[in-house]
This record gives sequence, structure tokens and C-alpha cells, in this order.
Amino acid sequence: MEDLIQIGITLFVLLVGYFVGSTLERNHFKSIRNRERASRRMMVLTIEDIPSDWQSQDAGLVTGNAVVSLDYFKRFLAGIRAIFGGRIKSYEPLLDRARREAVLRMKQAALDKGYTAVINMRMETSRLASATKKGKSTAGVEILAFGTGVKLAK
Amino acid sequence: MEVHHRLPDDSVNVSDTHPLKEAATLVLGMLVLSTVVFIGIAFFVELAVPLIPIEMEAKFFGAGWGSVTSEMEEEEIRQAEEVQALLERLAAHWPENPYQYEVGIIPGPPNAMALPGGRILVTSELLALAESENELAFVLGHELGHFHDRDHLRMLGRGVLFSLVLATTGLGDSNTTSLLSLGGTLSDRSFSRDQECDADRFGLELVTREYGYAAGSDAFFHRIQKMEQEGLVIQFAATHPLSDSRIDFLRETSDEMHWEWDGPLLPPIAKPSTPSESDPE
Amino acid sequence: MDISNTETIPGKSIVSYYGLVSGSTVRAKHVGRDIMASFKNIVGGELKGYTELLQESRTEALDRMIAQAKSVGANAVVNVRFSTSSVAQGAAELFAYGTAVQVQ
Ligand SMILES: [Zn+2]
Repeated sequence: MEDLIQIGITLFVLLVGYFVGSTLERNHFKSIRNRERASRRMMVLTIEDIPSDWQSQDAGLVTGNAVVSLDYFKRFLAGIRAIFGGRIKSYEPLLDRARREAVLRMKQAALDKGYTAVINMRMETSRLASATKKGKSTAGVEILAFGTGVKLAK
Repeated sequence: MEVHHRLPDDSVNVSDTHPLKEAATLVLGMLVLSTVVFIGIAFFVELAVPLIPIEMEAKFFGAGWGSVTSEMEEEEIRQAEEVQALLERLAAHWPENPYQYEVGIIPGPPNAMALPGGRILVTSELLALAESENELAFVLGHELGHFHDRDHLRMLGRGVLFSLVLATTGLGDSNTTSLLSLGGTLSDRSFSRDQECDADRFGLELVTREYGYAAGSDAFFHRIQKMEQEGLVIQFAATHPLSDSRIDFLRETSDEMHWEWDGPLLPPIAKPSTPSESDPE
Repeated sequence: MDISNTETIPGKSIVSYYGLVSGSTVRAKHVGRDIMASFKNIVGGELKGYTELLQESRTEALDRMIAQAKSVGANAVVNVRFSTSSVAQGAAELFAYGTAVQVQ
């Protein structure tokens, strides 16, 4: 009987996590796509120097970051996946969202400073350990995108 | 030098499996895994249990018995002695019996339990409600059946090993433990159903040998079933799954073995001196 | 598809830039491998199971990055960087990114 109640509660939390989580995810992806389309004129490159036939008037460091965490449903799936091994599909959209969001924020920062392109862009991922549960569970994952914003002369 | 402002295909970094499909596959895999692990453990326990000597069993699991006997009142001690006398008469029909039995009476809804080391607990309500000696004899015979198969050790062994395996392999992550133990519980239930059947059969045989017939053997089950329907007890079902088929099984076994069923019911023994409130009569 | 972690593809010149492309995958090792690795940890040395797993995953991340590069019409990716991070207990993300370009 207690088992059933326990399972019932877990199932309820899972369903709430699933529905709310996937709605948020869908909306976020939509917003990301819109902003990517709007900001696509700003080039983001990993090369260390601007091509020799470009000219830069101004340059400076720009950064963008995003911290994300999994919903209960996906964390549950990831937990089981960790037993069988293989691709943790539930993590992919999360990290993809976070990374694109971080790049978009970096681009926004560059735009605010009047830059027209970002070169030598690097990305960094780090796990933020939760204060409880001896760091076993995660509070979230931070994605940091940074690069050098340049103002290209036409 | 040209610059193209095209957006790359953004679907490549996300697998397109539907999360619910993924969930179904994983949950199913989990249940299969836990069942396989559990059956493996059960198999190991089957092999290991006969190797444990009776004395060791009594020594290891003796703790806590003292608190049962010290809490028994004078009347309960008398009842325990009467029950023990009946138990020993029944056990005499099992020539290879290796156990020294000890009966304890505890308060609580009608039930009886076999504990490791030859200890049997009988609840006071079971004694108060029993309408014949035969009824009580079958319950005791059933518990002797658990000792015969050493089911208490099996159950304990399975439970302990299963938790141990979950803990050491790291399978028991907080998210997944409930799923794994669900698989374990389901498998355990089917094992204990078999055990109950075997114990019923053994108890029936002892009763038939003692009295020459099996009348009253199903009385306890009928009583519990009636009480469950009236919502009076729910606890019993948790430890002893009860069903019509289990009651029918007694009669079928008796017929199959050409044992006598009908016969006179003997007056009940080990009754409390003051009638209990829960006594229906 | 030319892939390099230098500014250019040596011997070729870049004619056009397409911008950032990336590929990632998140993988978990299974419990069996975990148990074997914990035995291996006693004596140290290479954990072959993990080496293979991570290499295989990194290849996949690279393949996904190449797929993005193809989708914009590039024929090379320069200045490719890898990043591996543990995003959760028992889960590693392999990430590859670079600049999609057209070379001649
Ligand atoms: Zn039983």
C-alpha cells in the first residue's frame, strides 16, 4: 500500500516534470531560433585572427553564459540510462539549448558594444555540484561562451 | 573574401527519439533487469540455505526473542504452553524434524509467523477467534511447513542479498531504486506464493496424520476472507496472499492424496479466560 | 571535408566563412563497465572500456559537427576544439566546435 502511494507520487512528479519541461523546452527552442535568425549577420569564428583582408577598428572581450538543469522526468531517464549505458538522449536538447543560449548572449553582448563579429570564440562547460547529497546530484550545468568582439571596417 | 550568413542545421545535436518512447524502453529494461537479478539471487539462496546448519540459524537469529517472552502475561504463558503442546504433537509426524520449537504469543490481528531458529509467533486474536482445535492445528502445521522448507531463511536471504547487490553495484541510485525494488517485490511475490502453497500442503499432511482427517483446515482462511471483506483486517494479506484458489487447493490436495476430509471438530484450545471483545460469538 | 585545429588548412586558402558549427553527444557508461573499472582502479593503468567509449563518442560529436558544416555548404572546418565535461554523475558530454569555411 505504501509502495503504491510512493509510486503514485513519483509518477505524478514525473508527469508534471514531463509536461512542464517539454513545454518550456519547445518555447525556448522557438525563441532561440528566432534570435539566431535575427542575429545571423554577426559572424562567430573560432579562428585566432581576423582574415588578412579585413580591417578592425576596435576589439574587446565578450562573454555569454547560461546555467541549466534537467527536469525531473529527464533526470529520471538519465538515471536509468546510466545503468544500461549509451546515449543519454534526454540531456542532448538541454545542452544544445544552453550552448546556443550562451552564444546568443555573447553575440548580444558584442552587439551592445558595437562589435560586428566575434573571433577566437571558446566554450567551456562545467557542472555545478549541489550543496546537498554530497555532490552526487547536480544543481546544474553552466555553459560559457567567450571570444573577442571586433568592429570590422567596411 | 566572402562571408555567408547561413544558419547550420540545428537538429543534428538532438536525437529525435520521443522521450516517452525512451521512457517506456528504459522502464521495461529496468523491470527486466531487476527481475533477472532477483531470480539469480533467489537461485543462489536456494543453493545456500540447505548448507546453513540449524544451530547456527538459532544462534544468529535468537536476538529479540527475549523481549517477546518477557512481555507475555501469565495467561499468555499458559496459552503458549497449550499451543506448544499441540505444535509438538504435529511435529511428531515429521520424523526428520531438526528444530526445537518455542511458541510466543503477541497481541495483534489474527496471524502466525515462523521466525528463524524454530520460533513461532501466534497472535492472541487468532487464539480468541479459533472455533476448533483443528483450525489452530492447520495454522501451526502451515508454519511447520515453512520450517520444513526453511522459507524464513530464504525470504531473509533474498531480501538482504537484493539490497546488498543494489547498494554495491550502484544500481540503487535514488531515482531508480523504487523501480528496481518494484521488480524485486513482484518477483518476490511469486516466490512466496509457491512457498505458501508448499507450506499449506505440508500443514495439511500433518493435520491429516494427527487426526485422521482434515476437517477445519480451511476454517481459518474462510474467517480471514470474511474479515477482509468486512474491512476488519488488511495486514494478513500482506504476509499471506489469500485467494479462493488457495482455499480450493486444500480440498483438491486432500482429494488427490485420498486423504479423509470430513470428521468431527474438536473444541478449541488455548482460549483466553475472559472472552475477547472481538469474539463474534 | 577537411578538419584542422589550425587557423587554415595548410596548403589551401580560405575563400569564404560560414561561422560557428558544433557537434555534441552525451554518453553514459553502463554499470558493468563501472564495476570492471573499479577493479582496474586498484592496479591502475588504462581503462580500455572507457578509452573506447570516449573515443567513439568524440567521433560522433565530430560527425555531428561535420553534418552542420555540410548543411551550410562548407567544405572544411578549421580551428576545431574539443571539450569533454562531466555533466552529471556517470554522464560525459563530448563537444566539438569549429569554424566552417570554404577552402580552395
Ligand atoms: Zn505462510
